[in-house]
Amino acid sequence: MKEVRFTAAQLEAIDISQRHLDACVVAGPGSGKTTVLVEYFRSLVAEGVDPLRILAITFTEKAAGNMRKKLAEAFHDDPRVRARLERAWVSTVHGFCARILKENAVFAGVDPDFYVADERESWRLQLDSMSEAMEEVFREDPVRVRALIRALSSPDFESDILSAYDAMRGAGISVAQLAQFPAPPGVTIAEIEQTLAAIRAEKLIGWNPAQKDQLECALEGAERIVNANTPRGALQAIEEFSCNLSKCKRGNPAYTLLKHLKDEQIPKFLYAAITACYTSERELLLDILQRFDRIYRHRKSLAGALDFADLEEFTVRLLESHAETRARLQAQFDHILMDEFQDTNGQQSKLLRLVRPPDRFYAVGDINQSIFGFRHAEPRGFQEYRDEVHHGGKRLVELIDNFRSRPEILSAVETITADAPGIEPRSLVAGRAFDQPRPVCVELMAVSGEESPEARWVARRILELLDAEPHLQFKDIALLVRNTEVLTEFTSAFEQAGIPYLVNRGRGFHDSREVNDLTHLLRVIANPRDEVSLAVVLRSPLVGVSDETLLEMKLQGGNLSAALIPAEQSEALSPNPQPPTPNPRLSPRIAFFAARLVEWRARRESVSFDRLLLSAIDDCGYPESPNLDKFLAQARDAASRLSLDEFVEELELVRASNPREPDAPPEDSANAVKIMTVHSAKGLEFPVVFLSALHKGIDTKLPVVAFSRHFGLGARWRNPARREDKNDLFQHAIHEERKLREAEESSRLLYVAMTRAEELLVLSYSVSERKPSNWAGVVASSLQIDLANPRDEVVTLTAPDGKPWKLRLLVAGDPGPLPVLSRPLPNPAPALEFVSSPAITGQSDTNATVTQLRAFVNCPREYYLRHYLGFEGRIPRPDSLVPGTGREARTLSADELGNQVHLLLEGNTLPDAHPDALRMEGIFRQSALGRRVTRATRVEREFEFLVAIEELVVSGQVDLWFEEGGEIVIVDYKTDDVTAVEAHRRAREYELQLRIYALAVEQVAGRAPTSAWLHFLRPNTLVRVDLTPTLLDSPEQVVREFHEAQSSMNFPLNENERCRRCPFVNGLCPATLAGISKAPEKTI
Amino acid sequence: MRLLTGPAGSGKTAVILHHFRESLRAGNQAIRLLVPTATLTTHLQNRLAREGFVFPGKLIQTLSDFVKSWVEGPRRVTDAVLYLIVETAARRVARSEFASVVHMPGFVASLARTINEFSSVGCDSNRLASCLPDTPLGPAFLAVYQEVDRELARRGLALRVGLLANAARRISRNGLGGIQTVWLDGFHALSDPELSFLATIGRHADLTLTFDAMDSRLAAIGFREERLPRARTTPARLLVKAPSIEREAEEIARRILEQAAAGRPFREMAIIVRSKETYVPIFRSTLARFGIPARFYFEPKLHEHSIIRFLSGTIDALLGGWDHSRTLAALRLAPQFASSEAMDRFDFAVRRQTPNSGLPTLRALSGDDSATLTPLFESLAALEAWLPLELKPGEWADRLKTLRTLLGESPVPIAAHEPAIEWRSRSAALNSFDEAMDEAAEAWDEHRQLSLTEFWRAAKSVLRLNPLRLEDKRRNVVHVLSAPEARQWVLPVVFVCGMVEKEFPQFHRQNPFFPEAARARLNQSGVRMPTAAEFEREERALFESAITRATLLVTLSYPEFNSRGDQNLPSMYLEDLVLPMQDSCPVRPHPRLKPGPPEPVEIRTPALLNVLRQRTAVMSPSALESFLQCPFQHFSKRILRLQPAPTRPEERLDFLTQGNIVHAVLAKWWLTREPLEPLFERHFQAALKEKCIPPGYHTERLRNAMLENLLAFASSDKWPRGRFQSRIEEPFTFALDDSLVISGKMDRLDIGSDGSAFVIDYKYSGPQRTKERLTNDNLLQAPLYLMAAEQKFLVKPSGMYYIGLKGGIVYAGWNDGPAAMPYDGEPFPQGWLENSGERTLRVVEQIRAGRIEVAPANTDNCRFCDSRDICRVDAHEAPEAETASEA
Ligand code: SF4
Repeated sequence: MKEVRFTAAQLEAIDISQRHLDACVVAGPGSGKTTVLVEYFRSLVAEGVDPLRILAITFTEKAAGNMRKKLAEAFHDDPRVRARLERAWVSTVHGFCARILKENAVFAGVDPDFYVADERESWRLQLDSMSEAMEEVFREDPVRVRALIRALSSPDFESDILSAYDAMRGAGISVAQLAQFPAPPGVTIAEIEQTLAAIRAEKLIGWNPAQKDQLECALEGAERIVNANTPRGALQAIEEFSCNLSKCKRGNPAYTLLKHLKDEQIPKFLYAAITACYTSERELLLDILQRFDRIYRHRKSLAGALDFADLEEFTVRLLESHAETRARLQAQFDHILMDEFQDTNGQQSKLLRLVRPPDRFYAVGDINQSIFGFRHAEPRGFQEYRDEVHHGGKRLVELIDNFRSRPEILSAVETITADAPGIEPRSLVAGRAFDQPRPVCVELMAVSGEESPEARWVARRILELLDAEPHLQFKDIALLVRNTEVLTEFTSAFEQAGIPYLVNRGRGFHDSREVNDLTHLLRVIANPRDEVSLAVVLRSPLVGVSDETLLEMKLQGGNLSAALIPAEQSEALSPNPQPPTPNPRLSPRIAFFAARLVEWRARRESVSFDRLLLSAIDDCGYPESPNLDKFLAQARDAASRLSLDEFVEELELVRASNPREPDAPPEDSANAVKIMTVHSAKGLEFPVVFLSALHKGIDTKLPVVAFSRHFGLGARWRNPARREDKNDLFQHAIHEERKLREAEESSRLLYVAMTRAEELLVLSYSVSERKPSNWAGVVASSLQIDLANPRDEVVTLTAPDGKPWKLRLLVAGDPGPLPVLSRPLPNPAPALEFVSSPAITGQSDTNATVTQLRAFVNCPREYYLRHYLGFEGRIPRPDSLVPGTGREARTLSADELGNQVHLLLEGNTLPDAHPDALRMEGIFRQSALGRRVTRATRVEREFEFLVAIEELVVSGQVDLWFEEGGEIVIVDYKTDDVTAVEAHRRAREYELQLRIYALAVEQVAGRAPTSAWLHFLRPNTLVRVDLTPTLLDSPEQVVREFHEAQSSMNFPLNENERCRRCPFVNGLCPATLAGISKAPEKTI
Repeated sequence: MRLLTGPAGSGKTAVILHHFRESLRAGNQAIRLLVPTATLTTHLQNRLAREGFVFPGKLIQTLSDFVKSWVEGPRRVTDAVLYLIVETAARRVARSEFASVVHMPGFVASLARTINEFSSVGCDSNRLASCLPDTPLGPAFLAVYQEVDRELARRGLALRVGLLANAARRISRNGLGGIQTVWLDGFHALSDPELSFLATIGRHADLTLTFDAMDSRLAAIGFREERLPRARTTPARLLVKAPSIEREAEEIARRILEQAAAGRPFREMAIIVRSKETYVPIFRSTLARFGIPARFYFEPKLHEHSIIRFLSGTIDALLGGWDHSRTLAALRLAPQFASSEAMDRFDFAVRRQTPNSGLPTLRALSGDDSATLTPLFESLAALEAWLPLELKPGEWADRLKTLRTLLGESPVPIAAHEPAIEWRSRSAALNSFDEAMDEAAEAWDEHRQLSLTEFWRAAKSVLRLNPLRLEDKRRNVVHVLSAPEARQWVLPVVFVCGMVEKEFPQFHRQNPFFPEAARARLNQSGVRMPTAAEFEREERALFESAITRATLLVTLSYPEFNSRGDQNLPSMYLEDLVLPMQDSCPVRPHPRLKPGPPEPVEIRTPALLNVLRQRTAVMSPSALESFLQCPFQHFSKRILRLQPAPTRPEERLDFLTQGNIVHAVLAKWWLTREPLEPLFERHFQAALKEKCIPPGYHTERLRNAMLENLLAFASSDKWPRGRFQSRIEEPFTFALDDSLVISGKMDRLDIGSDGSAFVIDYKYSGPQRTKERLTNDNLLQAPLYLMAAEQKFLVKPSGMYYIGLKGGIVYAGWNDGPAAMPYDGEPFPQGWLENSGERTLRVVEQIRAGRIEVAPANTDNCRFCDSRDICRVDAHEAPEAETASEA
């Protein structure tokens, strides 16, 4: 590790002498917290702590990887520690949980081979489970469901419930616990009654009769609310309640009370009335959640899958319910290090409490950088811990030096966020030394006008900067936005200006062109009758058909696909013996595609889907992109789980239900401006940061069903007295809580965004008629500068700590034509190399058996089907087996009989031998050859051999060879069911076999065999085989042909009488018996 | 007993082969060379045969085969059968510790793995009972293990260790049948039972073992060490970094092609893969993509093969009552129908009417294609006879083996090498299916009578657990090897990929039953269960071996980023090596097609223009509006009229259908004023039937919304009906000029007694969208309808209203009439009807001139356009706030 100079605060933070105390390190932005954390870990290990006894938890995989990398570097020279680091517990919470669960699967009650379902998969499972739950409850009680639908009808109902479910799990609350949340206090009837009584008790001094009437009317209205018999009645009464305060006498207690009644109590009572009105529907809602939870868990368990929330939940459950595991785990770690503690959620805090023994915890965090509330982070946990450490006299260290940004940037951050809610006042001390001074480090552009002038101003500033500062490159610049809606404005401005850019974590994966094209291609392969998909593919660069051609094709009548592959062709069943010939009227390009389509369809289930896609991509040179890779990876992975149809359906469902899948990460190396959301910029830094579209906020509307760990489940119901929806008490409380959280988190997000900049921070927004809102409002009001008149000037402002800082202020309209960059773009991407397919030779097999060679000689096609591809011949039909006929009832097959004969002749005793087998054994033993064997000097039975012929290693087994009377004789027994006459013809099929035997025997015996015999045992016919073949049918020549056939994949039919015995005829082989003449069999 | 030791590359194999050859030359066949794997067996056999030796193949054999040849009695239990036995045993033993997991396949699998682990170190359940370490799950595990051992014995089955012991006993008793010399080569680790088996051989024959190094166990059984020095030279090494695994695989392909172009045969190159899940699929795709012939020494999972999916899916469909979706899903896997148009038609016909079930109804959907599909359906129908049967396991196995007839028997084409392998895999899958059925039968008591459901459950487990064994004997191919397999290989050029953290070395996880501490205690008791330290040593040895497999060049590589874009940490093994580093180059195959010339974005051919003229002789206002929104939309929707795939059941009650229902109800109700609810219900039910819309929560939600909207309209409508006579759903046509007829249908035409009339058009859309129609310049419906009122119905058009019916009733329209109406309307724009007429003619002229470009007037509408995937417009970004989605 290279020498790092630490500040005093950092030294205190990494001081391991205090390692036996709980520690809290508050680390401001750019304060080197990762370095501190790594150094602390390193020092512990250097001090002798076993790396396996330290648990370090980071917020992201990336941070964990980074930490492991730095530790690996630090212990590069210590192989023992280095090796242990491989197993060290440095991971995210999820990684930690997964490891604990795998190792304690049985106690945790999880499948030890579980896998972690990714977001996409769990989302799909959730949707399916949700609709199953809804259907289930609807089947059981349609009346109640109808009531629920009337009370709470939203097209997003299911996804809202799912996000509430997600929040619940993040908070560590179970579905069963939901029912136990008490309704948050609201205004009660008694309170309203009290107010009414109080008003009634007032002397209405100075009220004129009209005013009194007004009051009376209001009081009566309120009494109707109070006296309503049912919640519905109360709601109706509230709806009818009216009170015109302006017609009442002001400035007296009765007025104040009335105003309180009207403005505070009655509106708030509405929440209570809604809650009361929908008790039964609320119960149903909870019931639905319970069913969903059950079904979802069941589905995951069937698939052996856990989702991310399960990892946390099951680990917590394991540790809570299993004291021994908990004790073991607590004893396992001497130190627990936690990064970004402010981002942990309720469940994770619970987990940490279970894992950490006292005084072993070292947490790093910063409330001001807590921006993951929407992912259920609970920054309060960090606050509480910090206070605990502080008050308990443990170790609290604050790292306030900032080693990232120029001081002016820090001053700007302090100025802008000075009184912002959610930001703890803590100074940012500039700690980094910069070589060159920079006159202005913060800019603000307030831009007005039509057609995104802000985006064009940003583009213009980028080009100006690059021109003015040669050390800057595009990749040094980041554009951060809060709301991705504005991205297209910026990307199109960048495109116009010729600025290369990379959008990180866009969410348009499924809508990207490449994914669109390839998805439709898969659909076409699955079923080309889908004309929309076919049209997409045809018009895409995959085929590149003009619209005219498309119309022509369509006009040919029928389905569009029929224009590609005429019906009679596609009907020829696959496997299709003839290569398909596409419609002759097609242009060569389309014809090529049509032919490919036939090919892909035939192979659709036998190769992975990415291969189908790749061949289409490579046909036309379809452009590569990260999304393309991502899609191909999905296709590759899907092929092992799903059929093509299922994958196509999955894609369709994913696209319909969750189209916001992130784009693939861009390849990082390019020299391009990075565009990203502030959330994804967390933890990153850039020399120049544009923080743009400050005027643009985000949608913070609460869904119809929402969850908070403090209030449970809330909902927005239909107010029966009005066509309008109203929150119940729960939802109202959640709403208030959320409002506060959003406000705080918004400030912190702004804080995080600005502190990403090292050299230059440019803030920009679009000015409209209205007062600047959102961050633009915060910036404008905190800087208190005049934005009314166009200007471009540098103003000096003062930070809260009194430090002056300079701001370049640009208030402008249209930026005019963009400048052109005067220097070339450095490091262009490496050039793409195109390669051609290699020449393929030598694709013949290394090994063969004698039987295979014989088959090849007799009929190459039969060899191909039976031996090369491995198909069996006969198949009994399913209906050919009647119940009760078990395997016992089957008769001996010809092969089995042959085996028995061979075994008997080898000298074995077979107690169950078939009489036919015994008879044939006798025939040989009594034959002349059989008698010679008894006199032989050397006898080899079932003689196995390997012999190489022309590099082909051939294996075989000679039934019998012997030396007798100076002769070497080879014998092969045959049990074929033939007559004596047929035997002579059949013998020709076996000639090659015996010649190869002769070769082998010659090698072993040291001299050539004298004779070779085929003994057909059934007719007791002996046939002598000529061992001096012509050149043409020598084994060597046969093997050469064999090689050649395999290399060129040429296996012609040899149609003749033999076909009658061939199991493939009329089936896997195109030969039909009808076509076979009575011509005698010939051997090739 | 001789132990030949030496580092990798010291030529141990060469020494052994030398002795082997000597024996062959001397005609001595009382020898055996035993090796660990079948691949190595074949490799050595071939090598010697090619040198000219003729000998029985069995002289070189795997240790397993050798052992098997001596076993008398028990058969080796296969992994799948062991799984089934363990599953039954665990349930029977019913230990409370396992209660929550006993039904989980992964649990049974990990029990079976652990039992195998114990067994392979020679620790059967008896021995474990005597030395069971104190670990929480120990007793429960032991109970299952004992039950498994009992069950195996009862069935005459044995684990590998049982076979070793059995064979050793037989050899001790009867000797080695004349075998005098035995060599063992290629082993890197030997378990205690294997060692004791070797000791037995050593007592009857001259035994030589090659090994990495001497250790105490070897010494204890009497091995004498002979050490060989390192001989082979170190190959050149380099490290390649690629941005992603895709680029890494492509880079390796590129380098292989470079080598091949320089004359190196493919067979002299290998890729060593440590993490097969990650790399095998991508190499299969990438090497095929670049046309590189390769042989993969990895067995795919049997149940993933499409043929197995087809057969299993069929049985599942049979057992599930022929649910149409599931049955279709299975049938589409039937290879004989992969590209059948009949099946395509049948596919869509089925999908149009799901959910449904039953074979006869399904069969009825084959329509005109029944001739093609009949044989298949007959085979399926025949299977139904199996449902009531109770048969013995073996009988079920035989029966299920006949399923392959479902594949039909059409001729197999002569394919190129790659596709031929696919055919081979098909036949292999069928054969493996048959074997799996036999295995499943083996797991039951052979006389037990079972239903198909019972048998099939076991059969599916076997299919899930068994690999697909596929032969590929091609000679000139690149070898893609696992790291353990690669130990036996030496080749000129080797690639070692995936050199990143947790992949190589792989991450070692503790066993859930016997964690590290328990293993340590077992080791102390003499049960040599592998520990984490051993695992680490083994990984290191695999790596050392991988990088010493090449004689000329080893290329190590790793991807810099993972699929999420996070940086990978390079493997720690790389830290110890000083390697020249290179970056990958982007590469891809030459496109097979040249890019075509840019195509015109209009119709120019006279014949086609003629078609356009014919098709636009009569036009509806909505067609015109479609063109004004976007010429391409009009082209694709109205001229091409493309048919999409059938929609899913839950999507069938789409906007259009909802609108149609609402329109039909209103048409009726407006005249008859019959009670709205039953009227709606009738129409709604009819639509469900017609469109095969399944009832359920979703349907109910939409039904409720429609009904609510209708009721809201009925209760709040203030239209002065009494002043008008209403004509409902009036179709009309009128000629705008000689060449153009406008046609349409008015939802309602309200004619006052003075002859003035209002056109009413219901829109089943929200208030905002309805109101927008007032200001949208690209709409022609209103003026054209008003013209129709005038020309066709001969009334004086006073106004037109759109009534938005969804989520609040809204009237938006124009009112030029004198009479006061309860709903505000805009005045007619100046010269509205005349101008609109002219504009219509101009528009039609453009259409007829062949204008079809993609030019949406309002990109917001693209979201609702059916052609949005076809047109390739960049209007898809419908972004959203980041908090909701940012991750
Ligand atoms: S999506 Fe938009 S651009 Fe494409 S055809 Fe439809 S309207 Fe035209």
